[in-house]
Amino acid sequence: MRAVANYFRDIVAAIYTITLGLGVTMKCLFSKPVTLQYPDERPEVPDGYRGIHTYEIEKCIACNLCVQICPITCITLAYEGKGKNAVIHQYDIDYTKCLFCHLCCEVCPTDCVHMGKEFDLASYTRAECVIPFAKAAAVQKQE
Amino acid sequence: MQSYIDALIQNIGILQQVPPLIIYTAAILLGCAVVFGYISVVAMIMIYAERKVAGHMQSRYGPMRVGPHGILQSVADSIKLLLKEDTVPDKAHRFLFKLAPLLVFAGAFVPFAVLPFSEHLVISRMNIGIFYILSLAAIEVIGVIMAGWASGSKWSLYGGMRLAAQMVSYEIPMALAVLTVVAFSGHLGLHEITHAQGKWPWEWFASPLKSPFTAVGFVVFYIAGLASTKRLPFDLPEAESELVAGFHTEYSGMRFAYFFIGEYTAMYVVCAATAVLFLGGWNGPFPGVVNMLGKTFFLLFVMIWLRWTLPRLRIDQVIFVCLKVLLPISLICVIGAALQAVLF
Repeated sequence: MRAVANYFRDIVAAIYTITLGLGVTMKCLFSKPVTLQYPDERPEVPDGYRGIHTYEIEKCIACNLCVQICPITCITLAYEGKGKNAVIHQYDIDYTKCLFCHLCCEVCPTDCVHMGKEFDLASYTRAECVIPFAKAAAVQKQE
Repeated sequence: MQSYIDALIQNIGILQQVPPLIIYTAAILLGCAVVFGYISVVAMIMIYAERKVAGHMQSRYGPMRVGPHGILQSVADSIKLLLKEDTVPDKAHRFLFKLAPLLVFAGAFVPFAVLPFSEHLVISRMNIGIFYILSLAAIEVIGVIMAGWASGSKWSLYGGMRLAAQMVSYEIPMALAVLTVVAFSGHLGLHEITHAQGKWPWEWFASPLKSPFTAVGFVVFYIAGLASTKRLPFDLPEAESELVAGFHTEYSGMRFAYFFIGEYTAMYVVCAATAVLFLGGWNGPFPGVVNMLGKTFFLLFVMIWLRWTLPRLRIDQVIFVCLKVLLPISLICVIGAALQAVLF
């Protein structure tokens, strides 16, 4: 008798749980999708996000501290002169190596390197993942 | 249909010069072409709808790139399938391998001969309509076993065997559920079954007010239909996580497209048959075709809805549901419906 009762209870439970599940999916059908149409729509990046760096070349005093503290030496700095008169030729960060640890920004005495909000690093060659910040700044200045 | 052609021959003078055999053959081929066009379009719309509904049920968008809101996605897919290389594995039995998709497609195609779209829009008013649909659905099983065997791959063979077990066992409750309706209509023809039902929902066989036994039979028929069209939660024959793609693992290009269209056409046939048997067919408040297509597409939507809600069952659970739940219930329904039809 108990087995018969269990049999019918199972059938009722199956119908009940299927209805519950159908309700959940129906609710989702009419709610707004949570995904974005990525290249067209960009996600909103929160403050404090550690993306690709931003670099202010006019503040930089070429102290070399960021190069020294970088745990994987992904920063290359080349300069002439010293202190505020320093001329910076090269400030490259290799993003194939960079682990976005934020140490370079913390150690910077003049606060010239920050973590930015850009995250899109897709490129066809490995060389394109090395971003020449000093050259970019020079180009910007010329313009 | 033959009466229409005869009337056409009598009214158009030129046709009287042509031998009737040629005219009938041409009419048959034309009818096939129309049905083929209809089912390809329906399959394309359903594939798009399935992907879109699936997307929104999982809180994403689904296809969005090809055309506005991805509306041309199915067109792009079918062009891709047509242009893909048609490969036959070395270990496959070439003749059976090539024959199998055609058989599966034919099994899904032939029921359109009796499926009514409205009172008069039907190819053949066969007096054994539902029996014809049920018996020809079995061709599909042979095609699938053939595909599984001829592919020369263990995944295909497992898929084919599972499908054979599943489809053959689910045809029993399906046929018994049909019998509940036949007990009331007293006829196997789809027209007579539809005429036994009224215009409004409480006059349909799916309504417990008409008969509680046919109402349960409706659920049994629909679940068995889900299983025989290999839809989730019964899609064991092509369970991706276990069998790659089941019986059509080795197929590509156009031959895969045959399986794909065949599957969606079989879904359409099951839903249309359910609409005719239990939901009053073309009866309803709107013009006949609108009622019929509305009911069919609603049932198709429920199939998609169920697919994206339920997880896949194990094979023993699938057979359990058939032999220990649906079969006894449908037997009780048949007896109850027969008693009700005789006594009341």
